Parts: sequence; structure tokens; C-alpha cells
Amino acid sequence: MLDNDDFSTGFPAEMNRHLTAQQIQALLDGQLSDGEFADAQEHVVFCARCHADLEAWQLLYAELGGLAEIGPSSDFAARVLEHLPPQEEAVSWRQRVRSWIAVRGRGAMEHLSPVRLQDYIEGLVPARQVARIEAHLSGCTACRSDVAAWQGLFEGLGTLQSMEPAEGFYERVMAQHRVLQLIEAWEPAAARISAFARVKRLMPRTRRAWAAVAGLAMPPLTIGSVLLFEVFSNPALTPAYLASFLSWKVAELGTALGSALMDGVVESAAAFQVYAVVDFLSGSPLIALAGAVVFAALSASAAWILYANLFHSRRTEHPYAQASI
Amino acid sequence: MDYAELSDKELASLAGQRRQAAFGELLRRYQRPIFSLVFRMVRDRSLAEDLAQEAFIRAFGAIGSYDPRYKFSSWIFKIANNHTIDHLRKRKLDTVSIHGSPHARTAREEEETRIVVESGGESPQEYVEHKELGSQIEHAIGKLRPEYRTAILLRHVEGYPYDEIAEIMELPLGTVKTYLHRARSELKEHLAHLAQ
Ligand SMILES: [Zn+2]
Ligand SMILES: [Zn+2]
Repeated sequence: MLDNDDFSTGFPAEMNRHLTAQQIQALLDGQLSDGEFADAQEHVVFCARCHADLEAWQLLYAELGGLAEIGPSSDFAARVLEHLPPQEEAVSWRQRVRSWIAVRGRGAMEHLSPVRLQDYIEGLVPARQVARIEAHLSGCTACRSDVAAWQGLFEGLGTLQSMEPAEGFYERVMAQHRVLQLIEAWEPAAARISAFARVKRLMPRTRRAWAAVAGLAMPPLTIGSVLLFEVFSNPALTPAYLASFLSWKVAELGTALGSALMDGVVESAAAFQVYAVVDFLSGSPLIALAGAVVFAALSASAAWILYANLFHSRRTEHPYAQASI
Repeated sequence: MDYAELSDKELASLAGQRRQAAFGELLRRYQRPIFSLVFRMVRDRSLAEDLAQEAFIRAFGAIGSYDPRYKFSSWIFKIANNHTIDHLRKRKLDTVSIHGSPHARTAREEEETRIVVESGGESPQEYVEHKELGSQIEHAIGKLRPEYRTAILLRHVEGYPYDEIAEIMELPLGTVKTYLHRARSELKEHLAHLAQ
């Protein structure tokens, strides 16, 4: 704890005069002349008692800060402090504040922290604390040179310019953006609806449409039925015969294809691999049949996707469909 | 309509209606600051252009999700910064990393105590970049970790106030202040080191 009243000598005479409450307030209110300010500052730097007083006043100011305009005048605060009766409670309150300030004050007296210095240079420190920082700086060469280093850094950061992207950047971004918007607009609306709804969507909706579908389906159905009837009305042809006939035909096709490939591009390794696959398939007609089914399914779905994209999404509720095409 | 006269928010709302000219004006306004940020983050011009382009494409594609209660600049910087940080994190996996302090109790502490050794050597392309970002201060910024770098660049190149930086980086104000203080301390140390 600092012994405030036991003020040591060794200072110039005028520096022994402690600051009055009025002077401290004037200092905090920024009402001292430059000369007076410099004197007061010099005194405060070396006088622990006045430093502590100043801190106490700053605390008071800070507490009254929000009320400054409408609150009691600083005079009021002065009277409060001057006329505090020497009661136990009041004294202990005052002492508590003082000891608290003394601890913090000593910290502040030590050196200004990097955080404080940066905020000071950026102008983020409240005006009242600026005086305290400047008081410290005026008496501390270490902190002064530190401030200079920080200022150098801030100046360096201030020289940083924003940089232009290369020529054509704007055009590239806009082009990609337009393409993506186009794709988004064309993206099948079907992707957002359930499979059931999709099937439903493909069903003819009017009687006329049903008639058209039926009309289109009639010729192949009729021809197919006639052929089936012809085939199975022949007593010599059972389904088992037909199956073996078909598998034999597929195998033959495979072999023919294989030998054609062999004749053509047998030298190439890729062709040889294709040949190996075909050769294998022709040896197992069921796999070939399964392959054909998969191929047909893929073709059908490809055709459907084409259909859905080309004819369906145009008149859907897709929000971008009207806007951007 | 003269798009150059409109505010960012008006442009964003027009862009939401798929007006190409509104996208164009927004791009014109932000291409330079966004590119600069990304460039200084990754220190590679062509990569920065790719990332900036991707950021714009993302932002434009999601223009409907822009909330006009916030600043458009914060929104677009947030997208660009997140995209760049994501990239840097992924790339970090490719660099040799010495693990953080064994005493670290949280992932964050570990992160802070970790030293990342980037593969040395300088390719001809990097040499060109270093000519562009070659000043001591740029070099020092390049040494900062990405979060600090973002904060410093937003504050000192773009001149954003602390609260907007907090919005862009999706961090509490206090954290942004801490980042800036620590980042500048690191810069100061680094520059003092270089000056010797
Ligand atoms: Zn005194
Ligand atoms: Zn000092």
C-alpha cells in the first residue's frame, strides 16, 4: 500500500505542491491551459498520492459518465469527496477504492501493455484514459519508443493496397454464373418430386391422350399377338424349344460379332479385351440376355430423362424456368 | 435503370430476381476487395482467382439466402473468407505439421501451440508472387495464421470496424479484438526481427 501522505522530498519545490481537487477536475475536463496541463502531468507522473487521487476521480467520472449531461455537476462530486465524514464505513469505502486503484495504478505506472498501446494508437481509448496514457508516456522513454514502433507498424499496415484480379476475371465469373443459371433453370424439376408423382406425371391425363397412346400401341401389340399365336399354334414348337432356339441365336450373334472384331482390330489390346468379353458372353447366353435387359433399361431411362428435360420442365412451377430463358 | 446508382441491398434484391445486370454491378464492386483478401490469404495469384471466382459463384447462387438486415459486404466477405479458410485447412493436411503442445487441454489450445512447417523452397511462380507481396509487411502478414490474417486484412486493408469484422468472421467482438491485438504483436515482433 502506498503511503500517500509521507511524500518524500528530492523533487523541485513546485512539484511538491499536490494537485487540488479543482485542478484534477479541470485536468479531467480538459480545461487546463497547455502549460498547466504539462505541469500537472509532470507532477502526477512522480507523485503517487496525486496519481491515486486522479485515479479516484477518474473512477468517479467513469461512474458518472453516462449521466454526465443530466447528472450532478463535478462540483457535486467534489463536495461528496471533501465532506465525507470520517466515519468508519465511509473511510473504509474510500480506502477500499484507493487500495484497488493503487494496485491498478501501480500496474499502469509500470508500463503500458501492448493492447493498451494499440488501442491508444487506433483511437479506441476513451478520452479520459488518454490523459493517463499520455502522462505515462511523457515520463517513460521505454514506452515512448514502443509507441513509435507500434506507430510504424500501423503506418505500414496503412500502406497496404487492395489488388486487382487479372484481366478477364469479371467476364469469367459472369460467364460461369450465366451457365450455372441456365443449368439450374433446365435442371429437371422432376428431381424434386416423388417417384410416384413422376410416374403419375407420365400418365396421359385426358381421354384424347389415352386414345392417342392406345392408337400408337395398337400396331405393335397386334403384330406381336399374331406372331405369338402363330408360333405357339404350331404343335412342334414348345416354349422350351423357343428358349433354346433364342439362346442359340444370341450365342451365334455373339460369335459372329467376336470373329468380326477379331478380323478387324485384333492387334489392339482394347479390342482384344472387348473380344474377350463378347467371347465370354456368347458362351453364357443368360448373361448376355441380362446385359441386353440392362442396356434396354438404360436406354429407356435416358430417353425418359431427355423427354422430362426437353418437354416437361418448361411449364412446371420451377421458379427460374420463366425468368432466365 | 442505372445500376451503378443503386445500393448494395437494392442490387442484391434485383439479383434475387435474376437480373444479370445486378449481379454484374455487385461483381464490379466487390471483385477487387474480395480478390485482394483471398490473394493475401493464399499468396498465389491464380489460386486466389479461382477461389474468388468460386466464392462469387456460390454467393450469386445463394443470393436468395442473403438477409438484407445485414450488410451485403459482410455477407459476401463471409462467404469468401469461409471458402478460403476451408481451402487452407484442406491444404494444411498436405503440409507437415508438428503436433500441438501435449499439455493442451482443448483443440483450440492445441491449435495455438502447433507449429506448421510448410514445404520449403520457392518455385518460379512463387517468386513472382513474392515480388507482388514482397514487402516486409506483406511477408509478415503471410506468417500469421489464417484467422489473424483475415482480421488484419479486413481491419487495415478494407478498413472495417471491429463489429463488422466480428460479423464477417462469425466471432464475438472480444475475440476479434484479441485476434487483432495478438496479430499485430506478432507482426511487430516479426518486423523487428527482420529489421535486425
Ligand atoms: Zn501530489
Ligand atoms: Zn512505460
